[in-house]
Amino acid sequence: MNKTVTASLAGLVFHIEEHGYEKLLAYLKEVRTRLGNDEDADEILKDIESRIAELFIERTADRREVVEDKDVEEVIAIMGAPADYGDAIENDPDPQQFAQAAEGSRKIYRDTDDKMLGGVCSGIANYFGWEVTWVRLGFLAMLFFAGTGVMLYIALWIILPLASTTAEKLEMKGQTVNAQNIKDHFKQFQKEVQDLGSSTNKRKIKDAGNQLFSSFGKIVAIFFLIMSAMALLILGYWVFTKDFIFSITNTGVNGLSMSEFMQVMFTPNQNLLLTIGVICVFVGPVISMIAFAIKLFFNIKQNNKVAYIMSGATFALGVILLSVFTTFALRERSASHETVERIDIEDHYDIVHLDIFEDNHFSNDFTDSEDYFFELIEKDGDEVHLGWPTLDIYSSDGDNIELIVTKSARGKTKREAISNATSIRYPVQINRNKITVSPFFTFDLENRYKDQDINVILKIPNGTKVQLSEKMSRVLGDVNNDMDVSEDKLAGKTWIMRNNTLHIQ
Amino acid sequence: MKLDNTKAQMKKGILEMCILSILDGKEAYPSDILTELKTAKLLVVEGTLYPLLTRLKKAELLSYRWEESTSGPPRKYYTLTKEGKKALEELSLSWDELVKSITKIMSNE
Repeated sequence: MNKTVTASLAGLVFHIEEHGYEKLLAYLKEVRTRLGNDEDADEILKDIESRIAELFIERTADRREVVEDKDVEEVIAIMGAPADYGDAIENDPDPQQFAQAAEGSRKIYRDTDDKMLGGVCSGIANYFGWEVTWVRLGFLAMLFFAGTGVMLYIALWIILPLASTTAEKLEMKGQTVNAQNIKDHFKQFQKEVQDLGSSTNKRKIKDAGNQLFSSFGKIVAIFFLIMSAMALLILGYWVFTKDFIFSITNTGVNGLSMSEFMQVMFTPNQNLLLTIGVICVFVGPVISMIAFAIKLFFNIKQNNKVAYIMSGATFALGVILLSVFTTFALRERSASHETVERIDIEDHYDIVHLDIFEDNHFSNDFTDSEDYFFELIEKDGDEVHLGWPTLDIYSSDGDNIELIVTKSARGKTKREAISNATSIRYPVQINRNKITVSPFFTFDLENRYKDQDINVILKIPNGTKVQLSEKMSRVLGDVNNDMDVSEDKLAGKTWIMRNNTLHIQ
Repeated sequence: MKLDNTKAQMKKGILEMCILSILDGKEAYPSDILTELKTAKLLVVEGTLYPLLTRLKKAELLSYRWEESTSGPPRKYYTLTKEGKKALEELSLSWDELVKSITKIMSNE
């Protein structure tokens, strides 16, 4: 009485006598080795398995249930020695690759015979000779690190090939990747580094370039890919969570993070589009990099088209989302409006005192308005403060002192632009001949930033003096003056108006 | 002197042409092709055929379609492509020339 093994060949089930089964396995393994580097090796092997299955069926057609030893031997004889397969291929397999394969070095595959989900864990366990339970626990543990385990698992699921033919299943459980292998690999690496040094060996290296990458190139490439992928992800994470706009406020330097800035700029829906779009644009290339690194690391021959298609699709989706977002964001800013408020001062004064309020949001110590243009933005609850109003001084047409406050903003429609402009809060205080303006203006967060701006014009009759406080440099525009000095030199002095030009007093 | 090896080499060179020729004007699956080649004693072991078929298919000289089989695994039915037909014509021409010149050499002896 003989023991039999149940095995599947080309999708059909056979009961094979144990001894014959082992012979068949060894035969298929050797054929696989002979086919070597041929990229069609998998297809050829499937054809061969399929033919062997046919021959078995022919032999068991007469009542018999079991494929016997002698059937296996006959079929192997019909199929021919493994050596013949190699000869049939145009290029003999790379001798080095061949030697490696002959030793039965392991290849990584997903093992669907022992799977919970996609056979990734059991495949990895097979490759490194580990206990599958520990690999699974490892992936579970990684779940608690921002779900990296899920990402990695899905990536490996897509990239690692499935062990579908019997020979592939054998390869999967071949020689363990152990210290000796790694040592050999490292020796080869060292040798290649030495070879790189001597130019006489250049040709040799070029020949070795038949393989996609040499060991040396491979290690460099994997390192580079992993570093780039990490850099991209860290950059993405950093941009979203860390402060990147700094405003110097009276409580010190305050930061505005990307997400806060986006709240000021765009509606929640637009932000969602923008966020997903940016994530896709980052993650797309990262998928390709990880896929390529895994491919190199495990020496996988097959191209993982799915990974590259996914990578491209993710990137394309990101670009589309960003374009949609840009269209929305631009459309919301297509109309513009300016509202003008004129304040007449009825009484006549020889001198006007100009000052700004204490700055209770930003610093009181700014001098040059050019230096802090974008930093003077702050979100305070439901309000946004912007610290760049400008004030110009001209001659008035009549005898009156006049203050003209122009509020401007954009909007989706003219109506919205008007509403956005008029709702800007900009306090001005006039107390006899003392005019005090605010160093910043305020609008509601729900309006979003739509180019809101404040421009103040002070008109004084010729011959009227104007005394500018030291802090006025914060808001002063490019005022004509006989000294031809810039705003920070204008402040803190008293001037007299003649023909649209301030003269030093 | 390994005469067997020389004979095998001779046969190997013309195997591809014979496969193309068998598939000229008809569809066949590997088992049919094997029967013809084995009858003609061009092929001793079957395994050699598969890498050849895959190579010819990859060179776009052959194409195949799947067909379910009641008695076994699904079968690949191969046919010649346009390029395959052209290749066969070209090979046949050079075969004829080869036969002529070889006959001449052998008889001149």
